[in-house]
Amino acid sequence: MAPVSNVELTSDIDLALGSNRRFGSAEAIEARNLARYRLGLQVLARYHPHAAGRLSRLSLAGDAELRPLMYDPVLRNAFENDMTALERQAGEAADLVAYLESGVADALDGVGPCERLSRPAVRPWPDRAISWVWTDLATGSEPELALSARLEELLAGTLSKDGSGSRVRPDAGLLAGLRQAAELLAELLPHTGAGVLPHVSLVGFVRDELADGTLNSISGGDPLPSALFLAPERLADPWTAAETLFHEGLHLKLFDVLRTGSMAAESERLIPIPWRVQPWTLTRVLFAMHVYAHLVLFRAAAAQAPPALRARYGEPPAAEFVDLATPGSQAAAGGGYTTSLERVTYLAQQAAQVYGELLTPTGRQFVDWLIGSVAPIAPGILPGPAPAATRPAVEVTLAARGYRRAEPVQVCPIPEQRQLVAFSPAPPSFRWLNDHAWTIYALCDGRDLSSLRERYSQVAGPGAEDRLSPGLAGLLQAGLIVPVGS
Amino acid sequence: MPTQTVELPTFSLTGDAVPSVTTDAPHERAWTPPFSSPRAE
Repeated sequence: MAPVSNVELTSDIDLALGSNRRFGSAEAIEARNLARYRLGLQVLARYHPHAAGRLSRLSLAGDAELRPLMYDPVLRNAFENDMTALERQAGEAADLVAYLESGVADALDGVGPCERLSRPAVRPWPDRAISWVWTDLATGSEPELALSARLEELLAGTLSKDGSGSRVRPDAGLLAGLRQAAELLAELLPHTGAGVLPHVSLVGFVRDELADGTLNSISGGDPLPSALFLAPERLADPWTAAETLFHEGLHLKLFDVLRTGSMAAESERLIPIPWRVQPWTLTRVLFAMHVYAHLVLFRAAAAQAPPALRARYGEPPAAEFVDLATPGSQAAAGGGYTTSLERVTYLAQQAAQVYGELLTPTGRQFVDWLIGSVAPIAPGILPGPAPAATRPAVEVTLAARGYRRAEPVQVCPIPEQRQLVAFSPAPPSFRWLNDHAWTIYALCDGRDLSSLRERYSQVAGPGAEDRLSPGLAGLLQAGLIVPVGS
Repeated sequence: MPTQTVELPTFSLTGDAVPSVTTDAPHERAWTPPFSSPRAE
């Protein structure tokens, strides 16, 4: 067998990282998010009957119409705020309903409400994804003014609190640099590079001075969703621009992944970071690890870039430049942690071993997948055996009378991903069921336990009976089923 | 599309999978990660 070349190796890793349906494929991740939105809109319709028509209409829209609306930063932020208020049982928030009732989302024509205000309208990579650039916003009506003001407010909430940050209106040179960055990224890494672009809705430009340095770029979680902002200086060199776009696009991708399955079981424990003074949460470690692992691939691909790519975009940087260690940190004093490989190796060890018991099963799968994928070009990254899970299995005494689904039942099946997303009424929350949990949930129709056992064994096959008890325990704990007679 | 009825999956179940019910958590969504260049000493 012929040896695998370095180019083939990076190409294989690009494919592995960009196509995994759980964590890598933009198409699969978006399909799950759209299912979540459709279900969430129906849930909101139940709480806001006066707006049920608008919410249901949106819920039933096609992907091409729904995606620009629900990936609109203002509408998505409003939706998440409303759902979080429901989850926390903090009243029936109606942020999204207010925007819908103002009419800003009435047109189902593939253009989001904020994008519709942009002048000039710029889609930087229309052949690859529906993203738009924050140029200027033209507002005429009161609803448009409210939308524009909210977008400005979300950005202001993300930048420095001292008001030193400001948005930059892009000129033709910046827009050309942005397009060039995306072209280079997609040519260099056809799967992972091009694959971050569908997670980006809004691209903007800002300058800001943060407490610990000059802002290079930033991307939003729920506070400014589906949006990334770049410092104009990052576009001076195509390779730096492509890397920065990759970096922030990966964050947006992981945010989208996390909306369909939690990875960190707790949010409090802090993890020391040798190149930073402030420790990080496990969630932040996972985000950083995700980026650094991909940057190892970016560096490898850049080093192997063919002559045609070098002729078009110039020579890639000879050495990697990761941001400096924070003054006062262990690395600032003692050195080290100056490459993506060093940093991802440390983070992988923390996530997989030292704090591995804090991962959810999905988080464990994510870490194993990420580390395993880049291991061939990341010597030393593979940690030793992970600690055994310390979470005790939930013991449950099964009710002989069987179980029924908790009312009201609201679900959205995603059969192509072998998943069902449900909304549990109490506590209110999205729940993601795999194929076995989906099957058990479907069988909880009021039949007694012996019938449930028998039918599950028929569907799941021999040897599956041991899975019924933990499956029922999981559904009970999630509030999706209740014992018959309760 | 969303529905209020739960049908059995129409595909064969994964042989070695165990039932899994997960959710998403607000603590993983409520922040933005800035990428900055720390000032040198």
